[in-house]
Amino acid sequence: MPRYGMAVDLKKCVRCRTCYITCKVLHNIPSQFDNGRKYTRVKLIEPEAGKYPAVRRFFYPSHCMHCDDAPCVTVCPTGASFKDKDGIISFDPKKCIGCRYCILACPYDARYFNHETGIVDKCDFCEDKVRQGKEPYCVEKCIGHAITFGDLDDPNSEVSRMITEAGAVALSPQLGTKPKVFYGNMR
Amino acid sequence: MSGVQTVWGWPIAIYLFLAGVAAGAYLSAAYVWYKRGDNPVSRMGIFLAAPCLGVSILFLFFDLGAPLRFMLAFLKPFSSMISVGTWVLTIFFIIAALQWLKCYKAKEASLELSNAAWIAGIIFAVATAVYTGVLLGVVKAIPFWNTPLLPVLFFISSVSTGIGALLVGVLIKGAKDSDVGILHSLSRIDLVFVGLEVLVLLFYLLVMGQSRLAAASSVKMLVAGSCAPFFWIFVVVGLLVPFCLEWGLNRKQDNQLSSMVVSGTAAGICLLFGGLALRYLILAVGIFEGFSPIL
Repeated sequence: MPRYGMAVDLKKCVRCRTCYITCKVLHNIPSQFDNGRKYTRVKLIEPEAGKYPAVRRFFYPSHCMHCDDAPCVTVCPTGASFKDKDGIISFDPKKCIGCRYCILACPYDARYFNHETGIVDKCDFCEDKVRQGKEPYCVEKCIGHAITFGDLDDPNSEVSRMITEAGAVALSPQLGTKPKVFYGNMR
Repeated sequence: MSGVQTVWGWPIAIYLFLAGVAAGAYLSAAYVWYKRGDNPVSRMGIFLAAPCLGVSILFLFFDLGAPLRFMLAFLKPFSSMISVGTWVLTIFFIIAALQWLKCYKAKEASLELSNAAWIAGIIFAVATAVYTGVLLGVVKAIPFWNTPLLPVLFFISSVSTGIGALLVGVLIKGAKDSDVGILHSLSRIDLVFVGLEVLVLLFYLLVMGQSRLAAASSVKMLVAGSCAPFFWIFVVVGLLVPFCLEWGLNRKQDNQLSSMVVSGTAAGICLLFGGLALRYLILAVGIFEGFSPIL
């Protein structure tokens, strides 16, 4: 059984926002806001760092980190959020009661509450596609081939090599949730 | 108030507050029953507990995005704090409702309530009050909530708001001279609980203010930021005013019903306002730790 993960090479990212648009269109995510938070699975984060004149602006896509120790799974009262055998933090919309405890529990702000359906939604690594042997939409459509997806347990997979050779790292690993999305060439 | 946490808002604050009032009123009723047996003050506690809890559960129910599926929360009792709470609240509601029914049917006749029911009720009342704090306390992503001090604070506040509800209920319904003694001892107990609440709140804010995590921002937002006006109104109206009123009551030796009616009702209303304000404020300043994009 693979243990799926993702790596983003920020050097190859041209900031075109295709991952965000593709995900939103192909997953039929409505264009609405929940208290200023967009309905979206992929967020584009553009933080600034440093002080003038040595200022840098970062840009990277962020979504569910599919944590090995996922706090959203721990707090879900119905089992709607669960970890699948292949490591994907999966979501069963039929079991969600819309309590939004998972939104509070997620340190990566990966979930949003859909007021139209009354339930929560998040990135599921396009699990239906992945289990057919294909890649998630954001990986497939990325024009710079910046996003790689694959088996973290296979040392020769492209995603594993991004971690071992290109030094891709998880965001805020000190939160202790063991994320499975990694970012390379952050600086 | 800008920048507040909006995932859980007012409905959840009211839910936590009313569940606390129900637990506190029940515990006070149990105390009065233990001291005096069947009497109007104890009956008022029983009379308030189940309806408060029922309304609190309704607030939770209607805050759900898909309320009609709520039964699913019963299926995995230990999977989440919410499922634990669903069971705790349900069992407490059943016990409190059965006693409410007996109390309702008894009218003028003497009321018989079994010790076993009281003990089970007390256990689940304590569990309910503590649970309202634990629900927030286990959320690691929000460091301001993630502390065992929160269940302690909410438990103390629950007892205090329960006594407040009891004072208001008894005094509005019309207290007799014979009730004044027990109302006095309740207000004396509450004096201790309000004092404890102030101390625990102070300690909580001091500890969190020292934190290197987002909890320090929460404290800042509460005492000096966008929530500060509401917070200081809460401190004065919800804590200091009832403390002074109850202090005044306990200094007097005469046990006059008239002074009890005025000060007791006012103190009770302030306590209830304080309990709701405390829960709303703590929910509102739940700032996420967030993740750092820059390594």
